[in-house]
Amino acid sequence: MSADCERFELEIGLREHGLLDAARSAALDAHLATCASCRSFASVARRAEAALRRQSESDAETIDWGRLSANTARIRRSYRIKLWLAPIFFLQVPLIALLAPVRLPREVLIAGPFATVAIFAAYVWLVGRPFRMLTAAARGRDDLLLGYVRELRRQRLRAWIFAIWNASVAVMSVGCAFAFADIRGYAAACALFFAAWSAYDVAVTLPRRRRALTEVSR
Amino acid sequence: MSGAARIDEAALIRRLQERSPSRDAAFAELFDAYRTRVFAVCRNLTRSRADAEDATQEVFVALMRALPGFRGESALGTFVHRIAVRIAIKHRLRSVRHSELRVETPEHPLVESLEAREEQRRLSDAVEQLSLEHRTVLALFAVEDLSHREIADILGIPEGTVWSRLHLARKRLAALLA
Repeated sequence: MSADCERFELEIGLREHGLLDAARSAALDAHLATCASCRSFASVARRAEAALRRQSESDAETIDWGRLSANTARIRRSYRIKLWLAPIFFLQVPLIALLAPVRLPREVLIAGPFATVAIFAAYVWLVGRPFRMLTAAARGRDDLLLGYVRELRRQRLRAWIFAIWNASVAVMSVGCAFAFADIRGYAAACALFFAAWSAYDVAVTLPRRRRALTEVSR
Repeated sequence: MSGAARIDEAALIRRLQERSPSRDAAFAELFDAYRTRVFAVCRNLTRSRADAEDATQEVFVALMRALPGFRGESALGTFVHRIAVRIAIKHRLRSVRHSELRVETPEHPLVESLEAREEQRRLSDAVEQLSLEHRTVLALFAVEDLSHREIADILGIPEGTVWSRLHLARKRLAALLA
């Protein structure tokens, strides 16, 4: 392998795109005739690229596109249903509380909206996250891997906020003076569930994604 | 590829952005035009055919969501590819934790002889060992036949970086298969 090989290897790529003039192309041919290392480089590149093409072509030939199209429609529907369930899920507590035949204590009037928003936001964030990740894929022009690092950082911050917020709601629900123990219990259980889910994200899911990103970038 | 070239992009985008019954028909047209290319990107960036199929579905769900906001700053093909690459990478990240499972090397009905199959397996294994950045550029260049400029637009990197990643990918392959 000579000192010029690096340059000729680059020129192999340029020629494939028709970016090499005739004189340099002739020089490249002359070099390839004498250099086994560059011939091997060109041959490996050609064979590997052909292998990549064959792989996707042969798989694509046997795909049931009708099934794939139907699955796409099903995924869209299921995300929509899950997100529509959010209001039904979170409005129960304030509705029951407002309809209760007693005057609500002041602390409930203050803490109620706080708890409702915490549970609703956590639900929409956690359940809708896969869907938002899809739309996020269409945004931004960052270098892809760098974009993912930023997205993981943002997700970690949000997970921390939801974990702390919902944990405090759970504590408040248990300790507040609201007479209906069932409603308090329901709110506390919801908040605790979402606090635990967010904490799991902070401690396990997001660090695992970060490790995976490091691994595939190597 | 030819399917993608035949469609009238501007009209299709307009129909996809309208809230009308023809939107579903427009989406079906988009699906037919780009399905093979999207699958090719996903197949080359994920670990298995099943992963590639899942990723392909997600790409079209994302497209349906994202197209109303598409302002035509890039070609539709570039936009579709950008989403496909991002979602394929996401699937790849998800499957890393299952990496103890062997990567699926497909059986090619067109590859008849034992030697040819062995060669195909060696090449696939070598490509699998490339870093994601190198593999992505190689797949877009070799399979999708995109120019360096288009690849740079899709990945959000300078054109020079595409050249260098492609060159390094080839060098690494040459070293692996030497």
